[in-house]
Amino acid sequence: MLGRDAHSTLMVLRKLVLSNFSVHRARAALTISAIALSVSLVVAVTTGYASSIAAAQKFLGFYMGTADLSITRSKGDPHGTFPQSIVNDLRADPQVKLALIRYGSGSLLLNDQGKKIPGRPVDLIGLRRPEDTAVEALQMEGGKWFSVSKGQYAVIDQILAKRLKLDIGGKITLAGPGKSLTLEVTGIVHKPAILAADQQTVYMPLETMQDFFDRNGRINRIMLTLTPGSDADAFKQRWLPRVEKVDPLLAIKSAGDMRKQMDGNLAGMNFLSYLGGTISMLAATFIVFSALSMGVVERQRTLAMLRAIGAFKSQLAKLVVIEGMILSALGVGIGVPLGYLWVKALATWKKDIFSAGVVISWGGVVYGVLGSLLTALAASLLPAYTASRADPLEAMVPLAKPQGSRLPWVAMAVGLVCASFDTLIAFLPLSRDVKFYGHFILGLPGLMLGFFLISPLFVWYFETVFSGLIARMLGLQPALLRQQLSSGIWRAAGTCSALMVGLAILVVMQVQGHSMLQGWRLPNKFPDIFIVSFEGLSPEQEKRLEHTPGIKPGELMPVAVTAAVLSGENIDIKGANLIPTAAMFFGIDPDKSLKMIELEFRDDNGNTATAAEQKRMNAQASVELKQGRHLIITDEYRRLLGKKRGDKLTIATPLHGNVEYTIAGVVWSPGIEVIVSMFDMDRQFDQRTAASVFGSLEDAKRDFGISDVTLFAANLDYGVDKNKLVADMERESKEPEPQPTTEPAGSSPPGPSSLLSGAKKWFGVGATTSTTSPATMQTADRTTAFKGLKQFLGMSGMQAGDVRQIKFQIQNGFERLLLLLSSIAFASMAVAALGVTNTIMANIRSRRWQFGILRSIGVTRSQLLRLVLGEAILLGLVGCALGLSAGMLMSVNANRLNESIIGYVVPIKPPWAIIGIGTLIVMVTAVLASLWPAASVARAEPLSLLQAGRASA
Amino acid sequence: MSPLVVDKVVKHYRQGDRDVAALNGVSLDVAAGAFMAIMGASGSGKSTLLHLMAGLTKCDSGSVRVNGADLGGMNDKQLTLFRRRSIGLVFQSFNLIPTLTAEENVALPLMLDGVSAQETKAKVDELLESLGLTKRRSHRPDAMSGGEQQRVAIGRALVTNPAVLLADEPTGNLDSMNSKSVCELLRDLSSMRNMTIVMVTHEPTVAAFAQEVAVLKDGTLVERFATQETGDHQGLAMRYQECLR
Repeated sequence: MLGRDAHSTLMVLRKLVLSNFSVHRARAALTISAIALSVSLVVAVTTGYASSIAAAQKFLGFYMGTADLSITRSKGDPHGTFPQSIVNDLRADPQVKLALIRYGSGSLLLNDQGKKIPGRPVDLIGLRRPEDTAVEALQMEGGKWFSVSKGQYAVIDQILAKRLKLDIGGKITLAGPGKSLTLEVTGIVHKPAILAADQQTVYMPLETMQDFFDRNGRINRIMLTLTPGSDADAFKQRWLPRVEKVDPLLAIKSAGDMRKQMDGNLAGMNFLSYLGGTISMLAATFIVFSALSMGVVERQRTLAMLRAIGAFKSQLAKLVVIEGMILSALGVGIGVPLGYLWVKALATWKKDIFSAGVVISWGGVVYGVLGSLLTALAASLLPAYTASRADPLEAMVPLAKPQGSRLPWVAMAVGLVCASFDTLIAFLPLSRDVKFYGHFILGLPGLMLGFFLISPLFVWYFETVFSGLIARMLGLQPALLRQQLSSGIWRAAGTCSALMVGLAILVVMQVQGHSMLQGWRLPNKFPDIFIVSFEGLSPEQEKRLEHTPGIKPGELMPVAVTAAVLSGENIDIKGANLIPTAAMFFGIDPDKSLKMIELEFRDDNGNTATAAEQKRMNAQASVELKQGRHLIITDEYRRLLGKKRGDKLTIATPLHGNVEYTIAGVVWSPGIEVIVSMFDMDRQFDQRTAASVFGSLEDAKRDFGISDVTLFAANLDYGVDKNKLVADMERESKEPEPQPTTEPAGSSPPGPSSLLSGAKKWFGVGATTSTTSPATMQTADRTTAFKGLKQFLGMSGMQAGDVRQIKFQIQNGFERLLLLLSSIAFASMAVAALGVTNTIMANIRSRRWQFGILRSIGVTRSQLLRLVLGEAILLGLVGCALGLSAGMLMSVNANRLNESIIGYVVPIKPPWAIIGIGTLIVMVTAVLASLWPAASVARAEPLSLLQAGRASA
Repeated sequence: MSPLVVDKVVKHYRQGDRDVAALNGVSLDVAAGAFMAIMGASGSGKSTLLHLMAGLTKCDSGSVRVNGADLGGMNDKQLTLFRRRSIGLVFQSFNLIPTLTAEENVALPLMLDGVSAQETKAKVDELLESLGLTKRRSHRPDAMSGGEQQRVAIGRALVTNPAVLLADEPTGNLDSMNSKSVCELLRDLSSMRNMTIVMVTHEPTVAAFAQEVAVLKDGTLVERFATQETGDHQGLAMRYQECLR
């Protein structure tokens, strides 16, 4: 219980603090602003994220209806279909209130000329109307839902309508395997922009869709609503053996399971939303420290007097801590509603993204509030200690003792120790768990604290070395700029550390990101293109695809993709849910694929094998893969698993339970999982996957139940004569092929002739040119060949991607993502700007007398302005040096930790241009933040400076 | 028993790489209700002696007793509490908290001690009235004259009813008019409230207000005399000069 004495003491300390704020209004305001800005960022980012997720969940809720359970073939082949007849049994169960069936797939769209419309394929959802009423919960922007389960009608989302400039009654044409289907738009439904921007949806009658894909009587989702009071888990347990009899890959998931899976998939984003705010809070911590340090330095005499008249050391320490806590509480008080208002304003502006309204992230609010109070407490510790050491004798001397500019060697030595924690954790032979948690709990905080404690050395060094140079550059006497920062070394250190945070984060993000990108190199021999068919191809269709003009004869390779869950291997960090125990399994034809892909084989230590060894390993792996139940794994996976060639891996297969696979080889990862992720092939797996493994196509079929192969890798035949290519295509298009399903009256589906004319246009070949002669032969180059093939395949409902283009797109996308993530660093720099203004203002305040004298003896306003700017340049330089040093050290440590924790080894490749821009931003921030105080002091009259200086002496 | 007894105190301190003997076995006792001025040239040790009496620093040997309590045997916490409750300090540069009003500055030691608001107000009101500061109670230091500021500082020193009031050059920052006013106030406090006061000064005109003068030279007490013996301040000045020869 707080005693009377303690309470009174708190009251007097609070009074002292508040009265101090009333005198230093600008300083208090800037510090509170920095805290408020950082807290508002935490609240805004987490609330914005929570609101977006709520919008997505609201939509998915509408889309899924209020289904209690969902049945899909998600154990190994989420795209696969199963007989819809099972729904009749389900409907007969008295606990089933409603059973809806859906068929989901994808399709490319064609324009009036039968040409593929550029852009991503759309999601197709087949509904059985009018019994499927769940979709009626979706908000209609116009028109109405079709009311048949067969018919050429569609409801599309608003983004697709806008993209295709379609209205009610408009037509869309889907490209299918060798056919097309035109649908009439009966309604436009609203889908949250955050979902629709990436993936647009077309809803169509179920049976029409089944006809179109030759999947009559087959579906890929059943949604069940149970009668009130039914136990969903018990129902699931009761029905699972029955549905597995129909298809062993079928799984029953509850709404909770799906929510859990979604949360798990979004955990990374959630973590990032908190990380962004944390970085800003870190910058704010240094600013609070800086502000409190200023207060302690300026009030040395007052503190000494308080000690002399009987204040305990602890009371002075509490005075500073209370000051920090009040600043923080005020910042929080402003920051929380400010963060909410930011999201609210954004939600008003972008209603599409926040269609579920603003959903406050209470976790984010609590994190922001507690984080801010705790960091303010941490920031006040050193100033509080300094205050408690105030010598009461100081109060007895008539003139204040000038502040010493001695370097705090002890603090710097402690800083050096703290800064080395992360490096020690990264490089010492510790367990992965210790490294992971040690890095986040001890390493990173230690590194930031360490650099902050070392920062006085940076301040001293840069001031000693560069102050003269900067003074000369600004046309000032070097003596004027000497010791301006080191005279208040801790406040300068605090501000420079705040500047450091943003740059360090930018450096580590960019260095890590770019190093990973640079480390991703495709093998010398790798398929030119990947082709995705939304539905699996029949052997005949596959054969036709192999003979598609432009594809090198014999160089089409089917690839079965699924997720392989390792059994008995614990490669995740305990409690982190970071590394999934599933890998992406690529089922390949060993003979063909090991010829088409030149994998770089590694020895048991991860070293590249010699050329002769490569050849031997390749041949041996091919033989072993053909034997079945053998795998080629990537080198990073080898590190994670701690296995080598010949070791066994137990894989939990959906069809045969736990099966032992033998490692047939270890290779440098070609990044094939990244490439196929561009086709969203990993989107519907039950499990998240880490790394990739290669097995045989037969294993994929036998153990994982992959019946339809939807991914194909191929090499281009781009040395062919363009005219011959078109002629081949013309012949190919005249081959008998399944006719399109019934077309609505008045529409003309793009037939073979229109497909051909589209292709001819792409190849730049005249429609009548069908003969070749050596004199007129035009060879199709790689780009032309790919364009033509892509268009040709697109018209057949298949999506093709050039591997090199995909890699380029992934790299570009990743670089854009890195820049987006770098906004965390820029936000931190904005917070730091307030600290720079604060420090410059404090420096000016403590030297008003000196400035008054300088002005009295003839120093011009301009010189005074330049003097203050010089100080800001020095602060900026120190901030940059700290940021670059801390950032590079963090990058080296992170690189090593990557190797230990996720097994990924890449050489460090700093992107100097972006780092240079970041450095420039810090310098500009420092200078801009000092302009206002610099201009203020330059405008002041000499007499007012002298009077103000005397009053505060 | 004398409220303030200094017995054979020795104090050395370091100045750069030099060892300075500030006090060489000074002994002094101040009777209850006495008003003593300590005089001496710059560097004679008078301020150091005051600091020892105030418990702001400790002597190397000897002892300082205030109301019978040996300050040398106290730890920092005990010493702080003792200063708060038993010692009143008046500084040359007033040392008021610029952000607090006169009333709040006076009340500060009581607030630090957790005295109730009601009790504090009663004491502060009384003091402000006796110091002639009632109308200035809500003013901050920057709105007051030097004399007023020093009276507020004296009020702050008196508010805990200390055993001794120690003043270090209390008129050093004041003009002659305000200086006289402050000296009269100290004299009245001694004579009318029986307050024991020790004041360090180098000005005979100020020392003349005290009852007794102790002269220090090179860290040694060389003379102690009653101001009555010297007549006016000129006589005191002459006696003081003689002591320093």
